[in-house]
Amino acid sequence: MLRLPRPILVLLLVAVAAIAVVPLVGERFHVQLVTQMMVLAIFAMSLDLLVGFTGLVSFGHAAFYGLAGYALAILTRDAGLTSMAVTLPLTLVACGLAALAIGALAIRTAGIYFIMVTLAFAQMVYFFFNDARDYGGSDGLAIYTKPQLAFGETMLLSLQNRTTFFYVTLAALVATFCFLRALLRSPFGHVITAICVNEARTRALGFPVARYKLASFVIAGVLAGLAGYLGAAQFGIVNPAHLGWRESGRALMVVILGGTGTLFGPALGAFVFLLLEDVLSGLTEHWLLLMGGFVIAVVLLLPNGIAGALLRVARVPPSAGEGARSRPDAPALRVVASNDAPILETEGLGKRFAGLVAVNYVSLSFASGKVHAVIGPNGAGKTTFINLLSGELPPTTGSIRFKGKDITGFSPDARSRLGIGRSFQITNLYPSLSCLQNCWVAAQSRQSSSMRFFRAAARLDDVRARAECALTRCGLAERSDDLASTLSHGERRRLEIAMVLATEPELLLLDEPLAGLGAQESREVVELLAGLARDHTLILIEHDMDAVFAIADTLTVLVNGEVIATGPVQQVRSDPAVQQAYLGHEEAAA
Amino acid sequence: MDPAAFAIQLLNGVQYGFLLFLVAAGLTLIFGILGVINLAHGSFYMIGAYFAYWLTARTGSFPLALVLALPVAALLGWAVERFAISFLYARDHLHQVLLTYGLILIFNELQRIVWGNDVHGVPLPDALAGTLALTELQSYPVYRLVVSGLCVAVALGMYAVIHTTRLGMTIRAGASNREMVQLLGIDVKRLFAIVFSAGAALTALAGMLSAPINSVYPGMGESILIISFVVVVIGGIGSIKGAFLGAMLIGLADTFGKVLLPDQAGMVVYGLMAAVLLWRPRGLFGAGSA
Repeated sequence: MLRLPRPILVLLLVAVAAIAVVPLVGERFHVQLVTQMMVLAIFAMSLDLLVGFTGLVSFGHAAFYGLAGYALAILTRDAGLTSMAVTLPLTLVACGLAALAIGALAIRTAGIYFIMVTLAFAQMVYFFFNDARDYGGSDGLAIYTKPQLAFGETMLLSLQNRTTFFYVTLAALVATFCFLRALLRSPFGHVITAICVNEARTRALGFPVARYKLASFVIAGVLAGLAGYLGAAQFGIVNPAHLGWRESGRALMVVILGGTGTLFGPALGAFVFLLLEDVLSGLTEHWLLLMGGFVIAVVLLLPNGIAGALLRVARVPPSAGEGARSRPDAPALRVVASNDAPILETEGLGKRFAGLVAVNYVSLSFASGKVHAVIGPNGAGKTTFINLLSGELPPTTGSIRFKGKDITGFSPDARSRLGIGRSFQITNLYPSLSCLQNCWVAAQSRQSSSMRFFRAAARLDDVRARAECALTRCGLAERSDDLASTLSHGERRRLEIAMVLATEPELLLLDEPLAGLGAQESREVVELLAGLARDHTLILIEHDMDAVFAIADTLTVLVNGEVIATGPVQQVRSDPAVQQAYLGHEEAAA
Repeated sequence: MDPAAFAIQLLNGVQYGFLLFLVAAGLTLIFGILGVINLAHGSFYMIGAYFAYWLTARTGSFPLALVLALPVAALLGWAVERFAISFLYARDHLHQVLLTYGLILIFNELQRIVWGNDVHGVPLPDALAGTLALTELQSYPVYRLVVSGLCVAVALGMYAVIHTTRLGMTIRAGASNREMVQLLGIDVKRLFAIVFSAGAALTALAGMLSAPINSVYPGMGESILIISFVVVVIGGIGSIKGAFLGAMLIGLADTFGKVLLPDQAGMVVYGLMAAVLLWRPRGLFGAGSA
């Protein structure tokens, strides 16, 4: 999704070159306008990191923009600091700390609630400065001495000079763009994109999602601070309006107008937005009427914003996968010796939902290296049981031990890191990523380096190899570059399993891997599971009895949340109670 | 604070809460049932207030202005739903935000073209302009009591419609599970049009009622919009009960905040909202899906 098609790359380079000559040919007014555009572009890109790439729609992003202005003004006024080498880092640190504090609280909420919480915090910052007489109240503060950079006695740069300021801003713009691109191509970038597409799945793969979101929030806050620093320095003034909701809303408009999740789109959006404001306000006094009409037309005609339209012209779908070459050889990922030691044990495990007992004191022991099937009629508590094992649900009673270690209180991501992988009954993929990328994210969850920012994920050969290996094992090597959304139902189920495999689990929890599959697709998945059983322990829930009898070693029958029989398949199968309670029904119904 | 002053602030807070409720009820229903984030909701508040000002000046009677303006506001709401919002039902929330932002720009500019940038007061008829003496020094304006009374009447009327009529049943069903209602063969188009225009009319009514108290000025729609979102989010999206409780909380917190913490007054309501959401991330009465 980050590969820029050549025409767009050329367009961006031409745009940068065109901007660079503005001070040579343009008048003072033009220089100022373009500087404003560049500042807004930096601000908009920082917001796109949240909105377009992390899935966090912030309606309070201007808080960091305005805060940076205040930080610069206060450092200049109260500490007499004018050197950019001092004020810029201090300002950015201040914004980063503020983003850390606000983000840590805000990411506890999601969706529209997140929008509103970020708005609330930004409004609190707004009113703090609005009501603080020391900081100029609603008039704000002036920055009388603009930042400068001197080496000894030699003045290197002074932002007092309009042309210097222009080129410093241009450098900041290009640097921000390159920084964000590198960030998004790093392992970290892959994970936040995955969170954006499917958060629950990313958590199930073992990523501490909250930490990634917070890191993204802080980075976005720091970059907004960079824009705010430049914005305040340009006009030498900062006031509460800079951190109010109108400014946040305007930035959001610029990002949406430009095209979320494209990075260059919001930057272009900033130029178009300010240019339009300038042109329209020259046409008529009531230009906002035209602006409103323009905004509505963009929504209705260009749903993916300016960038979406450009990418369409360049014939690239907005979220195309990155190219990759698949390898035919498919070595096993992990070899587990089959022995009878239990890999997972539950003791008195129970779950109660407000009066309904879904799982009632289940004590089971699952031997390592075997295939364990859990069957039972609808509503028997099978999925709840799997959810307790994977950590999706906290148990009401009892405990779970994995290889002898008590994991009852562990989160789903912690369990995943220990080696418990789960697949979902309702296929849970990243539809807008390619098959390879789906597995890539999964494989990366086993890398301690995922939080490493600046190493292109594409260069992590190990991760790539594991992703490809998982795909090959599941028979999807041919489709590795296709978007997950284009797969058939059977292929999606196999990709679902490939993603679990790429996390290198010892124990696989499979929730109805055959649900909704046709006969042929079903056979393919059964074959795949039989192959996996050679080097993994499997616990699967399934309705398809033929499949269960074909691959399972042990069988556990759950009725009304209780185990009525457990043991080797043949033994349980011939148990009269089971035949009475469950299999009899099943065969009679069939 | 002596008891009379406390009573005055309490009445003010409750009255402000009632006005907020009228705005927030529409906003929460439009989000809960139509699934649309309507930033232009505040514009109806502004339009209501300006209609009240304009029609009072024309007809010489504030009550008559109310009666005339209400159907116009409902009709305007219907038109906005039909010609703009209805294109957005299947779209991402971000698109809804952008389009309704465009609507705000247009409504604000139309307001400037028709009525200019001045702040206007709206005169009350003599019968409503008086005050009730509470103590020798303190008194309370009759009009504010009338506003509260009217709001209670509207709220009770809403309660009756929502809990006793077929339409109300559909609305309740829609607020708790929008997709299901659409699958049940209910005429969703008609339901959406009714909910949207009723929401617009309620909000316009709040704007009209507030006009004699707070006067009429450009940009009044946005301030009420933001604070109403705070109310809706505190209460939990889609919940009328939540909107009512949220409105009262914010009304009282804002009123008492201004008296007790004059230097931090602006932060109080937002602090309250942040606290509520950290405690209950889906608001006080938030449904399972949002």
